[in-house]
Amino acid sequence: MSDSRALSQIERWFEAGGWRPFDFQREVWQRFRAGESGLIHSATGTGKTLAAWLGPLSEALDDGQFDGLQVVWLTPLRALAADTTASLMAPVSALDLPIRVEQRTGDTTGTQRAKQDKLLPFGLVTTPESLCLLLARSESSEIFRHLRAVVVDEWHELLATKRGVQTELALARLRALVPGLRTWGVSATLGNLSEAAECLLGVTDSGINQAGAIVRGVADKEVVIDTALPETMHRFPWAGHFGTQMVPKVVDCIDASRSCLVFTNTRAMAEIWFQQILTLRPDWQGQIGLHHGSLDRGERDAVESGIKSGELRAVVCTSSLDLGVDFTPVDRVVQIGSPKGVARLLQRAGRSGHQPGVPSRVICVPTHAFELVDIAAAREAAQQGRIESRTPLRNPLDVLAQHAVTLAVGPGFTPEALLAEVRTTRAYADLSDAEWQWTLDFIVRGGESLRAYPEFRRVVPGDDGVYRVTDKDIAQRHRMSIGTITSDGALIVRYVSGAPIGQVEESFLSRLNPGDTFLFAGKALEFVRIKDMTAWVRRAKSLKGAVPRWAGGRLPLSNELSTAIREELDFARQGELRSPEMQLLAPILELQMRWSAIPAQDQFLIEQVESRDGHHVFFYPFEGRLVHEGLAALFAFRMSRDVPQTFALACNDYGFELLSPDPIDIRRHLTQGLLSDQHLAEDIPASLNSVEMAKRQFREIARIAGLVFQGFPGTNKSAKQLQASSGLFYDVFARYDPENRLLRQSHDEVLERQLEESRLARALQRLQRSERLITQPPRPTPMSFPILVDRLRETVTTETVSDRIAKLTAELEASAESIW
Amino acid sequence: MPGEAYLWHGDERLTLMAERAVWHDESGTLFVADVHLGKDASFRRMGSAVPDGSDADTLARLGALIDDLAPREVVILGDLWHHATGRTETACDRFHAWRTVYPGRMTVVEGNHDRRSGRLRDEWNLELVQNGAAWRGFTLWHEPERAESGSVGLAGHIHPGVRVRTSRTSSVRLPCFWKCGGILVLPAFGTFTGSATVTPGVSDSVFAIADGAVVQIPTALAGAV
Repeated sequence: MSDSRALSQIERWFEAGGWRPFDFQREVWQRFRAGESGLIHSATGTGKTLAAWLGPLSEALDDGQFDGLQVVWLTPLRALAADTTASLMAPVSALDLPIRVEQRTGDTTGTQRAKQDKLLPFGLVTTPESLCLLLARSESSEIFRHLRAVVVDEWHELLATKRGVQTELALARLRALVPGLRTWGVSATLGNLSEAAECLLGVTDSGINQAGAIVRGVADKEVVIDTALPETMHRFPWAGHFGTQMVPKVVDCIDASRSCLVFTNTRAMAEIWFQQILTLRPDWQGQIGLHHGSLDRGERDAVESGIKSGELRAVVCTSSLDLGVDFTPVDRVVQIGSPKGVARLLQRAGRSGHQPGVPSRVICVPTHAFELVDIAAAREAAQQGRIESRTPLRNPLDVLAQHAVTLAVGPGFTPEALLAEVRTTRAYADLSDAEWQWTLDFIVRGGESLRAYPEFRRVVPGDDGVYRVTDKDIAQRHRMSIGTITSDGALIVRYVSGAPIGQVEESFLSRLNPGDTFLFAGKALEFVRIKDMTAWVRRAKSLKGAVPRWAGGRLPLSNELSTAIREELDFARQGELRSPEMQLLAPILELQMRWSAIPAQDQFLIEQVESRDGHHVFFYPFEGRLVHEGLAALFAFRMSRDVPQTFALACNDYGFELLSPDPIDIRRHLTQGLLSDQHLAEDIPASLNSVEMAKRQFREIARIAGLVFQGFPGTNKSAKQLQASSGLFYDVFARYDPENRLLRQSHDEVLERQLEESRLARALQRLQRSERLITQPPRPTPMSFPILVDRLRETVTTETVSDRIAKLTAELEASAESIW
Repeated sequence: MPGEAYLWHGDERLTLMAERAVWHDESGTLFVADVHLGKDASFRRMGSAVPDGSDADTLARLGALIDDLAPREVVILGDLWHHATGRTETACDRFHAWRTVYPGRMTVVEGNHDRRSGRLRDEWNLELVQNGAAWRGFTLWHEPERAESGSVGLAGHIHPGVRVRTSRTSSVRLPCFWKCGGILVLPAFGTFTGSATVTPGVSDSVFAIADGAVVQIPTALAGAV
């Protein structure tokens, strides 16, 4: 069937193992060997790795060429590198080939790296950051001279991020260094696969997308989505209370499985559920594990190998286990709380049932009533294949500046050639000449070309027209700073006796007093002190304690799932309860209809309620928390523009509330442009503290663009004069260089990434077309209650900080005069 | 005056000013700390593209204070300059030009940054004193050391800031004067300087600068949300 000796050999290896290659694997091998690039996708399951790997391997085998670095294998997680290396080595050992596959990540020691430098392996498993470090070497063209293929694993994870853009730039560089280089990506199923392929493969100089194949992997596995239904809706909480009554159900699930993954949506929830399960089953101490991104790597590794070996009965985890590592023993997956997105639920379900013929199965556990709707809607959307897209970023100048300096640290670049190369990425395909010139000036002159800073030194144009970094210290600092991931002021948590436990955000730790206890890493810890950027703790005697709050814990509902929820509720409104979840919810839905209404898909429900607290208006766009935060602030701003008014705001994934001491004439506001999608670019910044938000966003940009240097590992005193906070940079730019494009980028990123401006505009357009359904329920309805009790209520006020302090101080009766 | 706070030491009054300075009326002395001239240039030298402008602002603000108060002496509580790498021609010339306009008596308590900034030029006409110098019953510090009992001091170095809770869910960070033990620590004066959040003890006093006014912050309001 193949005229390649190597491929026949590989087919025989498959046969010897008792299996045969899938058709899609053969397709990828043939396409690769015909010189094509492409993207392989499937929801879950195995086979994608061998599909991408055996093309280049068989070609080398037929050529008899094993010298030099021939395959670069990019992985988004360095934790996956070891596993991937082992999978790539399996056929190599079986066929007894004289080649090596090695890892090179941030964890690789200096000696290992030096060894690799002397004799490069055939296959190198590495991360985008470590790849860029290789590009920052003067001999990079020599390193990649023999390269046949670059494979990007889990491309969907990188796609919509700045790391994805960094990867696109690195791929463009490799393609420029090695004509004819083939690029392959491996991805989960996405709503925008062809866009994902374009980003991976790049565009040609003439702006046309490179031809590339999109190959679908094994037919998607059957996924069964079940719900652990509460016995009765009587006393089942309406709001976001912790569903303790569901703990026995979860324990039953664990008991009935060989090995079980229990997913939660936040790290705090993982800590709480881990504790609750152990409280019910103290005999499971040591048999269940906890895994989330703040835990020490050693601890996480131990838990991962515990799952792989089947030693652990269950692991309570967060998205930290969404990816990668093959956990064959896992036969059941539990999702606590709303799945929040369709792709996410499918990905998690796919962590179970790795054996052929066995369906992937996930059991959802609602923690309050309306999560039943989320689950029913997610199943419906999954069955219809309505999967979320991940939108790639365009023209982030911070990443571009970093990349150009990386090349200047390495072999150097000429601006014309680099611009042409950069424009072959999809991220920068429409980069304007002005943007490019600004970026170049930023790294060469320290600012726009009109300013002259003789003392500025970073990238220096040589007499030969090649731009290089000539200063050793600057080169060294840049190499230390390569990457786009910013850590957010986390402190290491460590036992007084020495062992590290993990990382917790500074903002939480700074609220603790010595002696306070908190739950972390599944343990009750007593806080001792903070010293040397470390929080020192010891084991606490009491089991009670606060749970750390982590930033970004409140994941918004995806667009696809919100749409599915609106549909599900519309069916329920017409009396069609299509699933056991909706049937169970029937009494609550009935109450909602009796007191107020359930909106049809083309209706916009608004509820007005009065209480001791004042006048409440609840709006239900069903667009997810982020959009609601933006809409709430926007509505409050527009409603108080003519008549000054103070509002308290609260929101969840279904809707939001405005609360005012004064009556709200909602009908009048609706006729006066409350829902207008005009002037959003002015109204949104005016309605939110967008300067504070932009400042926070600027932290990332300043780091990536190389304005702020995070410092060497450990403390290096000599770099101290270089330390300044990004907030300070923001202020200085805002005053003395307000046109700075990095400032503009931070404002754009706040609008688009944090407030989802375009999604917000689309939501407004939809609401404008909708029929308004305004009700006056006698008391808070089942739908409004969860919003009403939201504890994180924001206040919109026009008072100045000093007025506010004066008021608070007056309450405390302090004087502004004192004596020594 | 509204927006100012006063600190008494016996009969002597110190005025804490929203301009991030302290005024001693009796002797006509103006105190500021942590000026950090040339910090932006120092960053540029190291490859970080900061725009010019903060030094000019720092000096203009100091000049405006001198115009207003006509002090007999200005005392810099350390870190007049940021680092030797930032003492560029432009930065030095700018300071020299400023000194020609404001030639009055000026004393610098030597700070840790001053020590790494090279010798002060003669034409700047500055008097350099060591950390812990005595001045009219006060001790002048850059880096504050433990005050002997009964003695009181003025210091810089720390760049104190305080986090103030303004509601149940929000807080702001403000530069502040921090009186801890017998030492009053001034906020950093330089425009391109940040602040370090301090956690005041119960017996400390904190005066924050908010919206152009100095407000005392009860320790109960200081700290993260």
